[in-house]
Amino acid sequence: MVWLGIAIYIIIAIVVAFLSRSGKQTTMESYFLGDRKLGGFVSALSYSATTYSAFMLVGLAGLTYAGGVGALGFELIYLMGVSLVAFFGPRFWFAGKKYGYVTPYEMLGDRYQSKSVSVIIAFASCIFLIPYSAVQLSGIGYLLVGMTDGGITYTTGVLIATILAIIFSYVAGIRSVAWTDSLQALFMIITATTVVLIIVYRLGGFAGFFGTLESEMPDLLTVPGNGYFNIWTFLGLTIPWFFFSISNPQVSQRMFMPNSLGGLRKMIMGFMFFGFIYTLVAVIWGFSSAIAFPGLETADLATPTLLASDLVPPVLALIVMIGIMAAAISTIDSILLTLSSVFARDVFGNVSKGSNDKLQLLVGKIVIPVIAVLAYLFAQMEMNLIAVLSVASSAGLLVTVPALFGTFFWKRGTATGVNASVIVTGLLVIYIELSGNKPFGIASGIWAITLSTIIFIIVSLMTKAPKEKANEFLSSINSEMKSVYKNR
Amino acid sequence: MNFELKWALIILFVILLSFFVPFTLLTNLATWNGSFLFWILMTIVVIVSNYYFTKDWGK
Repeated sequence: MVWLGIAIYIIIAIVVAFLSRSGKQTTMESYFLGDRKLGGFVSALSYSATTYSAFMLVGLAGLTYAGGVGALGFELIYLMGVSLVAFFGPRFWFAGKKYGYVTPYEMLGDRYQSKSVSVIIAFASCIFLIPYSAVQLSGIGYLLVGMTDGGITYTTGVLIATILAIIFSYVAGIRSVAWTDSLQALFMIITATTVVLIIVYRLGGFAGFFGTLESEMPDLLTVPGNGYFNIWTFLGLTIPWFFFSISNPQVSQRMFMPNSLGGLRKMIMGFMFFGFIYTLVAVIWGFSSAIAFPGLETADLATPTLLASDLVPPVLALIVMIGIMAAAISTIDSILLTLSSVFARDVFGNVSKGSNDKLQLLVGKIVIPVIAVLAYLFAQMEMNLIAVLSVASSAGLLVTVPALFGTFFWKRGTATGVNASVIVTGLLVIYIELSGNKPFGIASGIWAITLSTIIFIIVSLMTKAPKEKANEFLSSINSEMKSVYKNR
Repeated sequence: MNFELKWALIILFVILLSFFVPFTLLTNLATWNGSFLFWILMTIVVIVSNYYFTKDWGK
């Protein structure tokens, strides 16, 4: 039964991937950016699918189960942070169009007039994003094991997911990724919402549902509540995710892709609407599990237990389970594609002499499976605590945020400033995550953003800024922005 | 004031409230219309702000 469901999903998704092929993807721009011609609707759905991974219905539901409503606050503050796209999005978009950037790091390298900036940040992003992909893969592994009582092994689950992610990125680059993403996102939002409505109904409707929470587990309705979400934990989780939309290249690269500013706007608004509904669904999901199955061994079991219970009709449970798997894959394939474009453009393109667009595309295509295998091997280490680890990787990417602000808003920023802030703070985050001891009890993400900002500013002030480029770049972007808001 | 800056400050203010209020004023309100509702309302405010703020794009 489970196998049949998975088989149907695979067939449909592969058909969609092949249907998405149009024209020849023979340049970096067409393969990785869809020629900057993605429509608003597909952009919005694909952005949603890429952002929302297995984390939502497994990790976020688990966080809600363990710590209560703080999980809602955390995820909604992330969503509010997507407002950053309303400020950075048009700037990325104009810059991409004018200078032909394929990756965000190519833009940083050009703006700060230094190849080393591109290369170093490209490496940093690989170091943090490959574990993030691995976490997604292991999420699928655990889910399949939980749902089938071990009928599908962890390794098999992880292997299926890895292979599918490779296929979806390979068939037509970003086109096949965007279309399979869109299919997954639509499918997921409909089925997950349906299931949650059924569960809430069975647990006594809205009044009964919250009545039980209020009388039996009031701690779950406040922060810090049972103590899980004390303010420092909350900040440590929230801050990295707040900047996610610009710090993570698999989503920031999306700002280059829409066909017009109107398309970009549809992407943001569509995503915010989607994210709002999906967050509510995932949190209510976690609450439901807390009401129906208090006292589970670990919070990561909240979703599998709920899906395997009588509260969810078996066919729907199966569909949602496959949906969660698809959600993880739709995140991984985008990361694969982005990292390979980053490697080809920013590492290979800068290091190798005589590299050209065609050669870069070839390198990018070769790198896709290599990165996938690395993530697969990482996932074999079977790490716990999905939420904590994926936050650790986004904490690491925070080190690129000051450089991005500097790109558009600070002429005095320098390449040395960027490199120093990324290297020093990046190493500190890795140290904190590996050793597990947080200096002064403060989470790595908070260290990352404050320290990288301070280092970026101080070192920049001490070194020479690329004045000519900064002036040319900023005045061209600013004049475009002025014309957008000319009537205001 | 610059149009973008104005909206940035409005959104930032709502976000700061989202950190501050649940951890201070709502810590003992263990009902659905406590932090749960508050965060939902703040998110709606931010989404609507973005809608108005980006209205001119592509025109």
